[in-house]
Amino acid sequence: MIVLDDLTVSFGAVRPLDELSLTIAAPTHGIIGPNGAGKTTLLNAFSGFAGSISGRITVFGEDITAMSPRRRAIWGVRRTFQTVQLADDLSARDNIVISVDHCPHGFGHKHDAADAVCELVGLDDPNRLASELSTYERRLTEIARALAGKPRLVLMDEPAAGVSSSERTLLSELLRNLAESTGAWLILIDHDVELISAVCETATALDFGAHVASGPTADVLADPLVAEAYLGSGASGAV
Amino acid sequence: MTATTQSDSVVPIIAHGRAPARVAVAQVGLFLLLVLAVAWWVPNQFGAKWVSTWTTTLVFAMAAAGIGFLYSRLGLASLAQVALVGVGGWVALRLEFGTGLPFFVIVLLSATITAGIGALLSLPALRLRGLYLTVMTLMMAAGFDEIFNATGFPNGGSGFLGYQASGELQRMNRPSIAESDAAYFRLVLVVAVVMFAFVWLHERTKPGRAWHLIAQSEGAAYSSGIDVVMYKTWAFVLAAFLSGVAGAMFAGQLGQLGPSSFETIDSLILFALVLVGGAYHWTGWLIGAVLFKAFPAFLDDRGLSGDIATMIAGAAAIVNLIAAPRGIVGEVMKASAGLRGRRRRGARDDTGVEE
Amino acid sequence: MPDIKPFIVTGLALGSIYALSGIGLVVLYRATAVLNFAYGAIGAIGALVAWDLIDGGVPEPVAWIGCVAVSTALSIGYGVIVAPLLADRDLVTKAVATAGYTLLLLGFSLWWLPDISRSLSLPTSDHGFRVFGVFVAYTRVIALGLALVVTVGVTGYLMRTRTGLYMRAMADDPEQAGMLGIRTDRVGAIAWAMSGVLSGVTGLLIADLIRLEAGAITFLVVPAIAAAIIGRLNSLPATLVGGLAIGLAESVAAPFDSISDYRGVAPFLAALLFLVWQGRHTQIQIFTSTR
Repeated sequence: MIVLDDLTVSFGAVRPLDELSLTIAAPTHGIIGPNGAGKTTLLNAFSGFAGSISGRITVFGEDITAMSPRRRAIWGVRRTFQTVQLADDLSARDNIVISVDHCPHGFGHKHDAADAVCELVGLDDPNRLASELSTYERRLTEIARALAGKPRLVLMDEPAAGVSSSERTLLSELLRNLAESTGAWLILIDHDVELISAVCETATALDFGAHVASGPTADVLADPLVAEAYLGSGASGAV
Repeated sequence: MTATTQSDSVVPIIAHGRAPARVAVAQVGLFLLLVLAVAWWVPNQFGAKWVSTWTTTLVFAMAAAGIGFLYSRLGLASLAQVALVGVGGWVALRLEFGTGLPFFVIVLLSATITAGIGALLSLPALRLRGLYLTVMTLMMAAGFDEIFNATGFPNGGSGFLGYQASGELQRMNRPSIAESDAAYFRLVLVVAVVMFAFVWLHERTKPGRAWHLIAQSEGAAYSSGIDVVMYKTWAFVLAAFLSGVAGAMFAGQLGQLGPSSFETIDSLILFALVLVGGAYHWTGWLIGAVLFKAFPAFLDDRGLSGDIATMIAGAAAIVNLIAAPRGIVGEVMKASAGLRGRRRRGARDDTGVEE
Repeated sequence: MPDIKPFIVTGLALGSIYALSGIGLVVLYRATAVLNFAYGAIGAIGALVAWDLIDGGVPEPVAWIGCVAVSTALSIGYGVIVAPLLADRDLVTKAVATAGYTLLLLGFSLWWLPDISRSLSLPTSDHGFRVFGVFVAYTRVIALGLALVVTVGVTGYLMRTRTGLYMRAMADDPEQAGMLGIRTDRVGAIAWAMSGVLSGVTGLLIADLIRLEAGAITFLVVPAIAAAIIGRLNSLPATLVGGLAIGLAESVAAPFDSISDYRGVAPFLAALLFLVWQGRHTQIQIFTSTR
């Protein structure tokens, strides 16, 4: 179980997250909301770099609020970013090995750990330079990096942005089975309502840094308050 | 797996993809042959003054390597590398005249001490934005300029500073295997190759990978478990170590050192020239060193002032930053890749390498 | 304990120069995100131009105006031609480019007027008054006065005028400022001009109070940067205090034989200690985007 207690993030007078309290009890959880709702800030709070924070984050019984970003990563909190952050001059494999360079992995050899996770996500020929990969492959590489080395909680920020619909389906499969294949829970931000429905058992809708609705995904998506949050800010519910 | 030279993107400094073993061995073999050729040819071809110039060029090539890899790997601009060469030289001379240690031990010790000093002075800034580190290195360069002018360089005098204004001034001894100028040139060549290889080794392993990701995004680095401050420090320590080795070898070359070799402006000039040569590839670092030492010597031979070289360095650096970030080496590689034609660039989406 | 009173006087004057230069740097940095390493070199050429004019028989006041004009031109020239080409690059790149400009300018100064002993003295140095038994030349008073006036004046300018407001907006968010319709290129040019004027003035003061030598004037940017750092690259009053403190520390060390030769290191030490002190409170900054 993942519990947020009155989580508030402030940047001076701005509060992207305002006393957010939330309990996540399913291994796949979606976060939806209009732009500016605080979704990425929430992930940043989990990662440990979000300005001034008050409140508490407890993951599987462990209070991670006081842990530094690096400690959290080693403990098992991993993430991917809205814009893929890979070292372009390294191969995909070397990018992935970075995780196991610094986090426990349980394989004999680092490269075995990297190969295993490449196979899991379906990345072929990881010896290519990151700059030579397609958008989908770059996303896979970043995901693989997050999954290498015993992840406990994986946070993904719009991982399907920029990929084709067949690739989106593959991604959906991978993410839905994440807990089974890696033991890690998943918190997923995306604007694609179909992806969220396919992957996430439960979901939370945010608006203006506060919680609008929470629960089984289908219920949240059907909630009139959620529709209003989207329509109210001028954007439609589905991308 | 393609040999990286066939891509139309600029070749990254080390091919991190797995080139077939045969190609890698061939590349190393070629490189070693080149080194041997230079080792034989230079002392035979040039007179004493130019052998000395080329030796000094190789000395500063090591300092250039420090600048180059810090800037291209991590985006850290160190404007203190020549000052740190001075520190290395100072320590080497002090050890030489104060202890009976053999030459190579002195080189190693000098480099280690220089690395430690560099790390200590830069640590407060390494936790902050890159601009602060650059600023602190500029101040380090100015600070050491002052200090060297105040202390002089050890020359057999007594006391901690080991400096005496007159009397029998001592010179640092070269190791017995490299006493002649020609032999010392070859020794410095070997040491430089070893130090470049040392950098390459870092590149290929854990620190190199961490540095690449830190340069891309510190947030991503932290989220992957990387201790960003530690790795930045490590990089700076390595660069200072390189300068320290350079300083000790320089002391061995000249026997004595003076403050005029390590002025604030020299650190700026070497930095600018590494950019101009090409900070992203080891050949660029070498070119930077050649422009730093050999080019002014060339101008001097023709009765032209070294200040012209300074002006060119400054202007070229500005041009480099605006339009040619990969330097001379980068432009040459782009041109040769263009000549060979596009082989493999199909759909390069928005994640393509930017120049 | 040696008599430090005369050194307090020198220290305040020196510190005033550091402070003035520091303010020039901070104002420019806030408006354009460029930390201008070439600030000193610009003033050096200005001072040499003044010397050259005086040497050629031009009346002094004209020569001084020439100095400030040249410095301003060199500053605006860079600001309008080179700086925009680097506008979207990171802070380090922008600063390093000014290091390149420093080399260009200093190389030119040394090539144009090779390093021999020259002097430039301002008429205000011939007269002064006595305080606690120490002779204080009017130039030193002017330097200190100028530092105070400029701090207050520029702060007022930033707070109360429209252009000052635009400069502050640009410092906060350059992109937004552009979108709000602020003529960022014009405001930027004004900031470069202000910096250039200060550079010319401090160039003259340095030539008089310290020495007229291209290298010395150029690298006085180092203590100026130290002052700017103590000002957190942001606060003019803090920069003033920082500059004065560094100048005092450096000068007051002069009569103490054991450390006197090393007193030039004071700016570096001051900045280093300040950063150490700062680092205790600052959370490690994390940058999630490309550099």
